Amino acid sequence: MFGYNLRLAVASLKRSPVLSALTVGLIALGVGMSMVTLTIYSAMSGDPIPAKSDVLFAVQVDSWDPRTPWDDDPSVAPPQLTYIDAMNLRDLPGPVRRAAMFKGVYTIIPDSPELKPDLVGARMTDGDFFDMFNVPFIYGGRWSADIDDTAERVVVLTRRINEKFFGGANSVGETLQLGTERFRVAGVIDDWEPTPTFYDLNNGYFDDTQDVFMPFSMLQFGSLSRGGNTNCWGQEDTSKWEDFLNSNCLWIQFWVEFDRARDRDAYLRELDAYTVAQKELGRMPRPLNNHVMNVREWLAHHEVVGEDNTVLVGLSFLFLAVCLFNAVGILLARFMGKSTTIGVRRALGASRGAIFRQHIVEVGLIGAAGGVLGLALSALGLFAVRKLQHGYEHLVNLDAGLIASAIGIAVVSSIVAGLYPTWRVCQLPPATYLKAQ
Amino acid sequence: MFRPILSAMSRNKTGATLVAMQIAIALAVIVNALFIVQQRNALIQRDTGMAVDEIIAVRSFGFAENYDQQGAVDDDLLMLRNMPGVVSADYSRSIPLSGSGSATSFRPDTSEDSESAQANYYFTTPDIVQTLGIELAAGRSFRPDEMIRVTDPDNPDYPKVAIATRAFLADLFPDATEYVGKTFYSGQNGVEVVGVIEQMHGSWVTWDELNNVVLMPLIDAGPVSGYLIRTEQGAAERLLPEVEEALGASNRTRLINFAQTMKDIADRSYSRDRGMIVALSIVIALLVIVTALGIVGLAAFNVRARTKQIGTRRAVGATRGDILQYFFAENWLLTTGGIVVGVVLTYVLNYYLATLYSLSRLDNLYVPVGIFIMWGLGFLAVLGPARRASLISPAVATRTV
Repeated sequence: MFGYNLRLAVASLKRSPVLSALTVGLIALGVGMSMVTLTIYSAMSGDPIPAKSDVLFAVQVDSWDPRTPWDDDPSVAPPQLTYIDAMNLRDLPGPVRRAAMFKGVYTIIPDSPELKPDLVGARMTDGDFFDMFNVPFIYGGRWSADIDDTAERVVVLTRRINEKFFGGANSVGETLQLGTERFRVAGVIDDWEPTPTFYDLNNGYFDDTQDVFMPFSMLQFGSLSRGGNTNCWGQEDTSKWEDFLNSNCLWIQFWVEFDRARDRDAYLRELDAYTVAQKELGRMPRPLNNHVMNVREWLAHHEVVGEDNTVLVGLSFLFLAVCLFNAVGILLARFMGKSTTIGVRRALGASRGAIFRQHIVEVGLIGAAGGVLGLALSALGLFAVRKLQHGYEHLVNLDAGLIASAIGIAVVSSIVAGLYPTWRVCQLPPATYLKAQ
Repeated sequence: MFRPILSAMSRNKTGATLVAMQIAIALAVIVNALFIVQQRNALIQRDTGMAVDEIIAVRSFGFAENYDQQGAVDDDLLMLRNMPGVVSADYSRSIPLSGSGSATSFRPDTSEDSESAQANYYFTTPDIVQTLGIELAAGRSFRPDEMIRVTDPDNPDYPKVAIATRAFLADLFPDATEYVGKTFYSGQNGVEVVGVIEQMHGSWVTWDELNNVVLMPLIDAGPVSGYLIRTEQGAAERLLPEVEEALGASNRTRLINFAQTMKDIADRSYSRDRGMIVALSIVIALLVIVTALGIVGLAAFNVRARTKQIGTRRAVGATRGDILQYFFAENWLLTTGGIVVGVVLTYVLNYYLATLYSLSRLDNLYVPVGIFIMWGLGFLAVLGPARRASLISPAVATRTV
């Protein structure tokens, strides 16, 4: 029976090709538009590390200026820590892993004179970083925990840097000139681009990941070139490196991992106790305002999704609604135009149910075609977004889930759009349409 | 005259309602989208105070152990100024409009609790006024003898003079009318204002204090440094690769890690707003097309369904003009019905956008604009079908169907 209905539907679509194409086109436009905005939205609100997003926590300690809060909302704490606090929190018990980090800048100076020096983004962090964030290694692995104290010169490279300077070979144990020193390669990581770059949101939410990773502890032994944001208050002289390290300047991100999500509460108490103890030393002049947020809370706190994207999702669904109203109008006109045929079928014994099924199949077919075309349109749209919009290069990809939802939206909306016209044709009294001719 | 039209419309209530709904939603979306587009446009069009189209910005990074920042800056500036097409060139550690820079609070005196004002600050060299094309409302730029050259990064001197924007000076000295000669403080360092910049944008285009800018004469110890280069009109794009190559070749102890025209830098800083404008413009254009299609479809359907009636009217004396007028009137009625609902929807949508997101309340002027767009759209869409209706021959009435 379904096969028969399908044949009828195809035949009916062929009879009025322009109207059929128009209906399919309208649904495709509506679906395409809403899929583009929805894809961007879901990529932005996506969980960058689903396996661990509830046990990884960003740590905030409010050490800001007593005269003015960090934010207009005084319950918002600064996103970064001072060096002093980062060093102290590295020793605070509770977490199973912890990593202090900041963005640095280094020049790789190749041993071979044929290659040009390369300025790269560096992340200075602790060895736990790689375990905490599930960073995939091709060769070697993280450096050992004692290097987090000794600041031995080791480096973890990305696949790109390893290909450029070691031809893609296993370079673990080899050395590389970075700035004025030689570093031993501890490991090479595979492509790793969490979107958003949740562990450091200070320079954009879809920042490039760094090219090299080096021990955080290096900074206690001398000045390093820093990237990223630095926020200072008070009138301190921070021109000497040591003064800078001991200043109130905020420039370090700090993350912890717990065995269980609920260990957060105990840790927050430790953190508050630490802050109170620091107040005794004359630091931390602001009221207690510490936060420990898991990955999802952290992203929500930073409003990563962005209002523009949410607004566009809303407007694109209103556009879809206009397309559907339009499609309903066309379907209605078409179905009513077939009144005579339907009258004959009904008179020959077709039940209302049969007529209904026939037309719903036709509507479903239009919806499926609209969905496929809409998917193509949204792929085109996303391609344009990737090419034209700065910061979206890594962001938008259609995955299986989104493809399924595009087809789903198309079929469901076209069936909703087709229900009323279908119901209307089923109500036609057969006799009226047999009389006139 | 509307009564027969209404009774004719009531024969296809669903069709008319559907089109009216399309018009209503389209109006609501178009008015709000136009409003957002115009707001973003105004943001992008703000006066930067600078000759954005004629500036090239370069950043360099000295990596070698023997890198000499002061020597490099002198050599580079000399070379750049002698390049054909270059009007002037200055050192500047950071680049306006680029999204990266330095800001701090300055105070009108040395006390800790006086009212401070925040500003972007740039360490730069004396020709900067010409290079950026900024206008001095009073005073002068700094002189070469006022330059501070930092050679020992652990013991830097602080500049003694500055030029600053009127906006910043008005924040810092609210009661003053003359700013030249005033002194402001960064910590214990006093800085004398020697010139007032009429208007200039700083580094972060989304920052509230974007117009608060301070320029001070200093070349720091490196290893990061940067140059701003003013080119002859229309030459920035062409000179960019030449500048990058010349700088790269002249000194092997550093890398040129960034070279762009200021125009591109500004575009990139506003790319979110531009993206929003493009996206909303597409939505508006498609909505106009789809809504017009809906109106055309309904009118064409009506003309076809009423062929016999139209023929009869023509046979009993109605002119072509009467038929045209009838369909225009019917369409106007339909459009206006949609508009009435649409105006309500417009305000509902704007209310949601304004409460849930930080969008402003709608400027009421946009509503009549939207209404006229819809009326115009309705009229254009119905032209074709109405013309076809007017061409129906009176003879049709006499035929049996």
